Amino acid sequence: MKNSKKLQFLPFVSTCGGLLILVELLVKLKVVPDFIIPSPTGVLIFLWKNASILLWQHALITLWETLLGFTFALVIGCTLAICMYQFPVFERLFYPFALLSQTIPTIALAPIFILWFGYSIWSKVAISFLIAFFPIVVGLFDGMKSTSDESLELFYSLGASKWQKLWHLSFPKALPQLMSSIKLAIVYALVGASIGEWIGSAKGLGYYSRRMSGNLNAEGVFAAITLLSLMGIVLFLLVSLLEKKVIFWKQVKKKS
Amino acid sequence: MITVKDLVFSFPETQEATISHVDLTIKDNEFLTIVGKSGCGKSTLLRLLAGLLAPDSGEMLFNQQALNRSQVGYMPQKDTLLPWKTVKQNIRLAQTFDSSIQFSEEELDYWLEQANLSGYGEAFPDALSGGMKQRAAFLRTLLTQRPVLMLDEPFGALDSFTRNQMQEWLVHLWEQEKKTVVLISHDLEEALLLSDRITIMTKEGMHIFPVELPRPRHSKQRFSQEFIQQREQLERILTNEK
Repeated sequence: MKNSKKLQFLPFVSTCGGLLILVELLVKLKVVPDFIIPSPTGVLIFLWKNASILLWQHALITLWETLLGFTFALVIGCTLAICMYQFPVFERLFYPFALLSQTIPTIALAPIFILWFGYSIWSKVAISFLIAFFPIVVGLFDGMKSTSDESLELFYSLGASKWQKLWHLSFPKALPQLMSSIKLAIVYALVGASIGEWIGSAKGLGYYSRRMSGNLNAEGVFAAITLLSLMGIVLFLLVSLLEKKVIFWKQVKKKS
Repeated sequence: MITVKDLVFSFPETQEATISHVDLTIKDNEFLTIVGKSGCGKSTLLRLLAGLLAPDSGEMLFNQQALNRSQVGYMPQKDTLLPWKTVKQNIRLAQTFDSSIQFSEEELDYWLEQANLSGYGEAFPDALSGGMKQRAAFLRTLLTQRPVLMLDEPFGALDSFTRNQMQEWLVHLWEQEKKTVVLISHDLEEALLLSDRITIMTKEGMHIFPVELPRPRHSKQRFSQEFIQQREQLERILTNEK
């Protein structure tokens, strides 16, 4: 059983490995110039040589902006979703705004945030928040809305108040959808922070990537992208681990 | 005693009344089953009695006072156990909302034993079979300690073997507890086995059918001559409905 679980990643890992070997060969044989696509070993060597700068001066900043933006999105998103669920007037008032916030391209809003918050981390946090906030609101709100009428009627017959229905029924019922949204949101938050850094910043992996691009240093650009991608995967996996703890009853179902 | 007088109810989106001028009396500690074809309004009537819907007109009285939801323990069709709570937490749900409902851990263990759920108190519902889930859901309704129990096709989704077991268990429990029970069912044999009276709901009105089978009841009675005769009478009433 354990072996079959390990083997499930084999097709992905072998495809990635094959692609990396192919790129390495294409670059080494000069079929593709290395300023267009650098060799994977070249990127690795660049990462190794610049690890200290990349990790402590840039990746840490990007991570901090991502986590701040995500935390704001989680707190404000959950609060708004709960208010919209409990008071329909909030739904009518705020749902269109939440939707509207997603129809404007982030790339167009980013300069406005930089204008408002300057080059500090807060402009990046704001972009990160904006991009991560929507899936959280929609995930939790729709999850709570999917509570069955039968369950709501049962709670009513048991004498539960409006808030007791929320905490004992609708909110836990929505947790699977919320956790799926959080998995999306944490990755989106990282994308938002990188976009912000790309447009206006003096630190962070987005900024580093843009600087390297300006210097035509493809290895530097790909090194930053590799780190961003790794950060995204690690954050996603951490949320997936948390999901198993939060939605523990799904594990009971699998075992039974 | 529950008295229903000239009850009328229609859903806002329909022209025709779903419940039209219904009169019904349910005696104390009586087991009454409501049967009828799909769409005749059985579940709607039960939801009205349970206080989940408000009638357009008419009266529902419990011992001459207006019937309200705090007098009724309601069990919906699906088990609706919360998967994130243990069996015990699910059964204690009513206690969370109503501090007047009191039963000790020992009492709860006693009831779990009665429901053949000993050892499953700390289990989560997804680890239980369909029949076990229904028994736990029934205990949750029973332990609301309300004088009237309204059960909406509680065994409808179970396989026939488990359903038979559940019916025997329920009839045994009711003979022991003697609560007023109103059950909705599609199954005429189930209705005969469990009930004191059967109410047949048709578009024309309600037909009361007194069940004349000795108690205590047992599923083997299904094969007796009198059981078969009564089932045939019931079937005739339902078949002759326009």
